[in-house]
Amino acid sequence: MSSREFAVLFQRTPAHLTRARVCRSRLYHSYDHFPYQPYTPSQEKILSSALKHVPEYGFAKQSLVQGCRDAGYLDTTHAVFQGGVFDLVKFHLYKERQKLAALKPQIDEEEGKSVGKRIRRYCVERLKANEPIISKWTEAIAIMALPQNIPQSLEELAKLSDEIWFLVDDKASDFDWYTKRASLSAVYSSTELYMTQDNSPGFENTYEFLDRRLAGVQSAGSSISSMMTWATFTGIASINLLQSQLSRG
Amino acid sequence: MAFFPRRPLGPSHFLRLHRAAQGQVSNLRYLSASAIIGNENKSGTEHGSPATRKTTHFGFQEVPEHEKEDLVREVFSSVAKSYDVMNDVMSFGIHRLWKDQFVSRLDPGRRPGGRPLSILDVAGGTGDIAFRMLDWASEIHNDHQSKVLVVDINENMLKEGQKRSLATSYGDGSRIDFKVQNAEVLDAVPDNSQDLYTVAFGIRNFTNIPAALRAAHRVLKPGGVFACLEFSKVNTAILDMIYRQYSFSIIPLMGQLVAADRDSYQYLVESIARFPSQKDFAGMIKDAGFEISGDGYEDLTFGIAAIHTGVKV
Repeated sequence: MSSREFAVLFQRTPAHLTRARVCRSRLYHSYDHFPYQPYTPSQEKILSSALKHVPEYGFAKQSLVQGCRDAGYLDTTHAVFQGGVFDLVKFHLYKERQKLAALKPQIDEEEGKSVGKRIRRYCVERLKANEPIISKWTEAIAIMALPQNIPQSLEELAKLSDEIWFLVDDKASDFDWYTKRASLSAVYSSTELYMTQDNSPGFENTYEFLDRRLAGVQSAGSSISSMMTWATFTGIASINLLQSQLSRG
Repeated sequence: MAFFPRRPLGPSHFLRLHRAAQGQVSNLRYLSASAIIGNENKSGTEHGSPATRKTTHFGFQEVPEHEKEDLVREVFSSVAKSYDVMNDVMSFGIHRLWKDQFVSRLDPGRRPGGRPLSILDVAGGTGDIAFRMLDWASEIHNDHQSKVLVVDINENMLKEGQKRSLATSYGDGSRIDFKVQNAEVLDAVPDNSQDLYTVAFGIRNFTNIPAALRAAHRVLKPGGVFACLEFSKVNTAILDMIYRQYSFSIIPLMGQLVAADRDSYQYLVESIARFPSQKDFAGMIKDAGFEISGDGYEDLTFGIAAIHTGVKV
């Protein structure tokens, strides 16, 4: 290899590949500082107007284009959204999740201290928010299931589950934190999928489905957490036993 | 490489004579360490004139700013005819996929209830992107009225584009126009007149990229979209090393074999290495007054190319 090629190949690690120290989101919640806002005002304007056209055009480019027009932009402005129509789906999920926090005083008053009842109430409110666009929701699910979108869709589901548990003042600091959110994610996503093919008046079948799923989780949740407690204890005890045997010589 | 014949006289030979005549041969530093680390705009003392002369980069060399335009024009005059062949050979045909992805992402076309679009394609001399956009608008949106204005600093590339347009259905010139323009000025394009500004594999050759971005901001209508397809930085270290090795050893060699013009292709790969990273370029787009969505860019093929978009607000 000539010295020229050597110089080219073994340069300092390029600046764009060294780890950046700036972190855009916190891993903890802060009451004093607003969370990271993922949408600028003009994007919110376009996407909100686009959502209004979804019942007519579905989750498709045409809704985005109509949204751009209504917001006072050009027809070409839709090209700036990196994820295309998936950005519209994400925006809907984000907006409806934000609205749950405003319901906390009312729900706390009406449902009292019961955790199960409050969780059910939050799920019901969130499902009601899907009612205006439920006819097009299967399109949104198909878009969310595309391979390039799956990580972000799962993140949105996890955020929703976390939001609901946070709003019922969950103070778990053990492995329960994970089991609770995982089980609620599973319940919510299966109920939402059921809702897309529910034709009963007022979606009453959907809410009965939700009740059955939540009841199933109550019994499963406690058994999973006690199993994890047992497994942790057994694991630590076995390691201690091995250490004592080995140190005997 | 003793078994290759001596290079025939051609544009690249003229390039070197031109530089020698200017007394710069002794001052050219092809790949010195400081050039790699990236010293921009060194003072003009090395070029034998007062420190007031500003320099810019031409690949890994430093040249006076006012000369970069001419040098770039010469590079593209010499590659114009075999441009597509070389692109195919260098990227194994993937450049066609990149351009298709670029156009499908922009989705140009008049929508029902909307007006025909006015598209500006900058540094798009041979018309690759322009023809793709017109085809997309006609076939997907049944839009036979949107127009594309193709501008380029190099007349030879535009002539090549005009020749190709005769073979398409746009040969009568009613939907496509070709003009010689400097992208940093765009004096023939009025303010607030374009719906879409595209630049594909051209912006790394501009002398003053911020000026070109400001010109783009000027000519776009409010709500208009700036879209740039360009080579960028590969996003993993190992692939970056492989890519660098490939581009610096194989591409100039292929230029020599296919087009008998090693110097132009050496310039091309050096200009790719010089171009800012995806995040830096997105920052430059924001500084010019555009608003970006998310990170502002989409990587193609592990970051070998990237599509940057911004909207004028």
